[in-house]
Amino acid sequence: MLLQFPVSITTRRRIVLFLTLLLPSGLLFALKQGTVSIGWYDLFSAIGLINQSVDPTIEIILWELRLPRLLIAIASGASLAVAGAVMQGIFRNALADPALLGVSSGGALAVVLALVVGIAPLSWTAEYALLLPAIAFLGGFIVSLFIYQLAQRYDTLDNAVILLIGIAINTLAAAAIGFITYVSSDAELRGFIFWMFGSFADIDRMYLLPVFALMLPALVLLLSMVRPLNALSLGDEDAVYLGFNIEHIKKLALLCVALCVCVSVAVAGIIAFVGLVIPHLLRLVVGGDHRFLLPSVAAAGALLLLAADTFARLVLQPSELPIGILTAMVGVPFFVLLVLRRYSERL
Amino acid sequence: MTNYLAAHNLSYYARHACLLKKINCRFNSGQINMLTGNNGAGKTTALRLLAGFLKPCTGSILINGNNLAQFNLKQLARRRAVLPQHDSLNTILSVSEIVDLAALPFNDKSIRRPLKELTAEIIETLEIKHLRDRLYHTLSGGEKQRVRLARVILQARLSHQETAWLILDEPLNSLDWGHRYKLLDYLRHLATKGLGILAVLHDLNLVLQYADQVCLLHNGRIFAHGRSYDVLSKDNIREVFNITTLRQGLF
Repeated sequence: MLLQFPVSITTRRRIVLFLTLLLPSGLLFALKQGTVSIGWYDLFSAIGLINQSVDPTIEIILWELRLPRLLIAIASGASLAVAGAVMQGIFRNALADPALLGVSSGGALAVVLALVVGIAPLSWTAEYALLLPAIAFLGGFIVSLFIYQLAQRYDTLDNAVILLIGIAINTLAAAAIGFITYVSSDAELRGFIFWMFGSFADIDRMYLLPVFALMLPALVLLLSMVRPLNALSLGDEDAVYLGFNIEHIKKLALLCVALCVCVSVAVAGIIAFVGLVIPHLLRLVVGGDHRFLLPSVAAAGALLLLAADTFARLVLQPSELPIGILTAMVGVPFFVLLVLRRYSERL
Repeated sequence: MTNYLAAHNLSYYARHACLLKKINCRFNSGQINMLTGNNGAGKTTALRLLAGFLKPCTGSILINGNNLAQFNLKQLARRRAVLPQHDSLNTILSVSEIVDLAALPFNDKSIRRPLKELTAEIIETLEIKHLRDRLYHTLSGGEKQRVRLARVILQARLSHQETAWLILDEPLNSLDWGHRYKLLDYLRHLATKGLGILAVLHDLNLVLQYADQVCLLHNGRIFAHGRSYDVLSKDNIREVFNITTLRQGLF
């Protein structure tokens, strides 16, 4: 249920705390769920809360498969949602989503090219653990830089221009990826499509390295941009008068957004909707003050992907539903309903 | 010693067009300085240069004897507060959240006490106390303008008051007559306390009534600068605003 404004600072702090505390409980619940259901007793024994020996198979399922996968789902959810909120903050546009501006597509195109050329295999091995995320980051960052440089040439980072260029880049990347998938073999095609829809299915411990080395530092940096983002909500000129070097902040934010989004793309494909919808929903709940918006968006994004991944694992057992399809199918109607309700109340 | 804001040989070009040419002027703190002129004369550009948002193509700006270029943005934010002409806020923030953003350039601990007192005084004076918990985008144009003014005045007052500058681009936009006079009286009060005030204003009656010093711009140059009654002479107004006949009762 949406809260009615004004929402006091104490209430907003409680919302952030509630969402954050929901995360460990959600993680414990998600660890139990899967093709092999694990009981609470075995789970607590494996964690070490109960002093009891555990079946080694359960330990392998928990530590080698489920925990890395869920941790990466949590990190991706938080990163995608925060990247969306920051993009919307720096471009001062509710539609400024990394996927919409072409950052995700740039990353995806770079990965698809790397796979087709044979630089890296689609199924990861330890030696490629950092390679695909790095390639994706390169693709996403080139797109970000291109948008930024183009806007700089015209003296300003005009929102409408950037969004239009983003749409053009998306179309171009989609066409290039479409062409590559069209000419690829059946086996490659199935792999591409499953990856492109977004899935955490193949993730194991090896994937933790790129996430913790590349994605999390960028996420922490984005979460620390509360003050400049609050200043930017007044406008670029006002932010300068409040003492912020907005060009420097925007460049740094774009770099971190590209890292967050592209590592997620390399690990789990394009999971759209999170970066656009979660910040939008949370803005309706906690308002536009980034002190509350960014942490609540991070927790909500993490919770969303945790829940979506758990559902995706359970709904078509023993097979899996791509998470990107699930988030879009469930989230978009819910989002439209909430937005319409909120705005009809305001009118 | 009186603090001042001065432009020395200031010129600014954008896309091969000369927007300001060889501007030389000095505004003293402790009084109300106003910048006026016809549309497109270069008032906003001059204000943005004096505020350090734009970099001059030639010339320099001095703030209390120091070159403006030697300060970084954070230092400048503690020396002057600026109200841009247009409102660009586009997110969901309450009135009190917006006013509190004035504290961003300062160290939180050092301003905790003055922040509370000054905020109370300013929102009382600008009559926005009852709007504190309202969402900004639900306010009327005049209410929004008073909230923007409150934030900027608070920023200037949190700065070192004797050396700070309050730079306002068309502060009376959307305000009704009552609030216009209340604001200008408040600016007068702040000026007597030592705050430097520079504002762009279009209403020549109010300029004449409140300004101690007036700078009249025309086609990117200073047409006249000095005491308001000297600058706003009928001849100057006829030439700058292209008015052939001044109606009886103006001024």
